[in-house]
Amino acid sequence: MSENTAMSTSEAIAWFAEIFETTENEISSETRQQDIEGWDSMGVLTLMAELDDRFSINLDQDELESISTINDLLDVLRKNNVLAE
Amino acid sequence: MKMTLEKISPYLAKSLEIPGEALAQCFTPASREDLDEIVRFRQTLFEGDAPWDDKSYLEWRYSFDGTGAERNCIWIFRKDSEIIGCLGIESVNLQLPGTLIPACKAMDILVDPELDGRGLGAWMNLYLMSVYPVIIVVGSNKNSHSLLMRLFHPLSRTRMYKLPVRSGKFLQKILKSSLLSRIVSVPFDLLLSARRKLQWGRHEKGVSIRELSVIPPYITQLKSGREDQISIQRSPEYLTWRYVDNPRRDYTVIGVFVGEQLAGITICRLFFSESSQQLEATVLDWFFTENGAGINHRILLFRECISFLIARGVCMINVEVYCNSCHDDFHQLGFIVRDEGLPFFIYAKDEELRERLYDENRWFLTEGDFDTDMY
Repeated sequence: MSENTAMSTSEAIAWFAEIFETTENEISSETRQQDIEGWDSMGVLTLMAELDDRFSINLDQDELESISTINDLLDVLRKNNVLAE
Repeated sequence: MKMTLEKISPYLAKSLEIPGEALAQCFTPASREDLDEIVRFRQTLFEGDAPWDDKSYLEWRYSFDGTGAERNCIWIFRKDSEIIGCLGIESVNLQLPGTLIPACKAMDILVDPELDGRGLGAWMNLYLMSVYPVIIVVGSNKNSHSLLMRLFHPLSRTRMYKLPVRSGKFLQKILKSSLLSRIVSVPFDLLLSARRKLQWGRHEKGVSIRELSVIPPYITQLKSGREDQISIQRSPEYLTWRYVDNPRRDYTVIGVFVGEQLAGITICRLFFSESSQQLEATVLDWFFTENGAGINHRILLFRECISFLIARGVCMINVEVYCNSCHDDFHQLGFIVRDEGLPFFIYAKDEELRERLYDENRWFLTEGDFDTDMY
């Protein structure tokens, strides 16, 4: 189900923490993929499903491969106008 | 966020550039015609050549009727007719007090490294959960533990026991002198031997030990753990297949007799340890008769087995077990707890069954239950 409400950066980080099954305290915008245990193959599929479900954002393989930090994910939200500045 | 097969399937299909509706058809039990290609696929993923004949191993472990109806089978995932992933299944029976529950062990999971991170491994596991009602994962590498912890219910790890019987190599490492370590190891080994004698107590008369070439058919009358625990059922046929016919590893079956009566058997593997540079042995399985006349038969069995292994020149004896009630016996035998060992994951579709199977205090597993042939 698509949800168009914009989210704040801290809300977005909390949401990514939930997707990657970690805690908000464990991640920041600078955190890299390799530093988050749950950001593995399953985490990537969960991320794709959640982005699609919540914001109708469909990432292709090239976009996925270019993402390596939480900041990159925030950029995806920014680009799709779902991150309130 | 709990992911389901239905939810992730479209995204895996997209990531692999496969039509969503074709995804399940890409993952099928292998048939005989697939065997050579599976061997080639596995070979590309092993670092260097496998030190065993992999085709013989696969033929021994799995059937290839293409339906998955046979006891053991290997599932393969094909994309554009190329194998890009596989996962092996071995059917077993879980022995619970008063009942048997069919289950399967998942092992030999491999994914094309070029597709690493796309989710194929996770999807194959989730797919099998829709096919098999109870799955246990007994063969996994460190890199997959985080994923398995989220897909399956993790139970705590096995406990690893070690019994040092010869100190030469160990002392050589510390003293950095071959001559000095040879001198110091003599009194040290005498101390180890005296400690064993002190801990073991009196020696029963009429006990003998023999290497066996077959698994005795009356193995079913012996026991291995506590009968009120959950274990993987053993049968003479299973043990013969697992340990005698195994083309990947050589195992030694040791029978302990009191008079002419079999008191128990152990199954061991002797190997030269690259890390310690010495001959070591692992005891993978054991079965013993009911205790009698004040004798603890598990201790009697292990004591004789240890003596047999020492006579063979073994310097270190290892046991890995998932059984809290065994601890006192191993302590009495002189084993020391070293580390936590192998991880173990389980999935049960049925909620009522989950309550029983997800209780880690109820399990009894030995290293023989794990997919350790390759180590």
